[in-house]
Amino acid sequence: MDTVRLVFDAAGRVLWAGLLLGAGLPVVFALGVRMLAGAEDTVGPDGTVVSHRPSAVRRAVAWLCFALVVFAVVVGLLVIIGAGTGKVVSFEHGWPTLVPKS
Amino acid sequence: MTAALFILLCVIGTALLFDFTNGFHDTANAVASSIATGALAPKAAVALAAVMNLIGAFLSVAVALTITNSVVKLQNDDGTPKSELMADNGQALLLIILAGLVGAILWNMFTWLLGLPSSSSHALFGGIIGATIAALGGHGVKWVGDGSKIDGVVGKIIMPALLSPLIAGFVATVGTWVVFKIVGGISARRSKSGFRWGQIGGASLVSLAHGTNDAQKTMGVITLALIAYGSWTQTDAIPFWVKVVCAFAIAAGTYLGGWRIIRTLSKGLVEISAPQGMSADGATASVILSSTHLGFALSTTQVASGSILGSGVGRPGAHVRWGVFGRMAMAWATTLPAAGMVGALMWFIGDRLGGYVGAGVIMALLAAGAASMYVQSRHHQVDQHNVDEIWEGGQKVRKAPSRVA
Repeated sequence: MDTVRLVFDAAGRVLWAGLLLGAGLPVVFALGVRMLAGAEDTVGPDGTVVSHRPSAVRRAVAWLCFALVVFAVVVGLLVIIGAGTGKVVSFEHGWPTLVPKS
Repeated sequence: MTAALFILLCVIGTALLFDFTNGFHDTANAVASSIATGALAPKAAVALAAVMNLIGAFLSVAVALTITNSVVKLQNDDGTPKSELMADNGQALLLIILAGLVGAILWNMFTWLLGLPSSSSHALFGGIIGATIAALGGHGVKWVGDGSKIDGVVGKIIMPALLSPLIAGFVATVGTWVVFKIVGGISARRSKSGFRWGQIGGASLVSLAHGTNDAQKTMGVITLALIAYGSWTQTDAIPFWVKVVCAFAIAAGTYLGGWRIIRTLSKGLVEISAPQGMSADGATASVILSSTHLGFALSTTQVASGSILGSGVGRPGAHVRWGVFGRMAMAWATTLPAAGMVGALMWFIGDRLGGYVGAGVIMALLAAGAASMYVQSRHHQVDQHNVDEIWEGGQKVRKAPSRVA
């Protein structure tokens, strides 16, 4: 059954890509949220609530995480546009470009 | 009006109605988790999904007319109908398509009534396969491909249907588990506002991809009917009006919101918190777009359902309602044969009565079936006001709507 073998080959590739992106991107995004959240509010000695702003390093890491997710969204948009126009996304130049389906 | 023209008009009308059901049946895939977590208000969520579907449908520049070739042998390799189906303005082919579409619509409405997310594409192919078997016999169906590429009912429908929820479920389980390790310490308020944008982005991508993929199928079906009738000859383009009406039909269906199905996916399967919703949406969008990119198209419905299920499995202490999942799996397994049986029955009726009468009776049966299911749905109405009521052991909303329109 060649069809069954072909399907399992393709499903395996989708599983790996799915794990890398589908689990990886939410994790990266969550890391960004975690970095931006800073420390929990604390109550000062005089009873006022003190918020702690995250440090510059944490904020930089957070925005790096979000930038990575935005880049992935752009690649996702290209995949959709490719599906509509009969093209595929190619990474041969290092950055994503749309090329005609071979 | 000739009988062939009458059947053609019936095909166009039912194709657009199918496109409309395709819209409301699949709204939940994109927006269920956003509604569950409150990232988007119910009406705002379906409005976003509708706009994205509309844009996606218009992105469909290269529409493949060989839409049915992977499962049935009605068309040549270039997309034109087989010559033996072309007599009398293609009446034989038009009747097969009409019967198949009616089977698909009735099954879509039945599963919507039960609040079950079944695949609209599988219903469409099931209906056409059933009508083809009735008209041409089992050899009219391509059960497995020739082995050179993924093809046939087994390769294109049955195996992807089995594998999609497993793949998406596993991906979302892993993602959710790690996400909860990372955000464990931060307050619910902060995590909710942060994850909101992740959810909206994921829902938008899924809706856009849905508009591009699913609207194309109806565009291909209508253009195939026009070619069979003889009023269109190009195989590398579709009439512009077909694109416009299909795009608006799927967007209108999406905006209507299949609230019964949204309720099952957002409240029934598992209680969804913000980090979970973001993980599920990320998994759905990534798995669908990876599969598109790798040329192994998966069903959006099964991927989205699998992701939400996985987000429940991966969250420590979450309660997954496996009974609800069992009902969904039953619907997935029966979609193809059930839509096929209705499609076959419709073809027999249309063929025995013939011409105007045959197509007219099929349309009357469709109207009667759709109307009775709509009336049935009014007994336990689910809409944007009560879609997120707590799940007290079932689809039916026991309490009065908490908000007033």
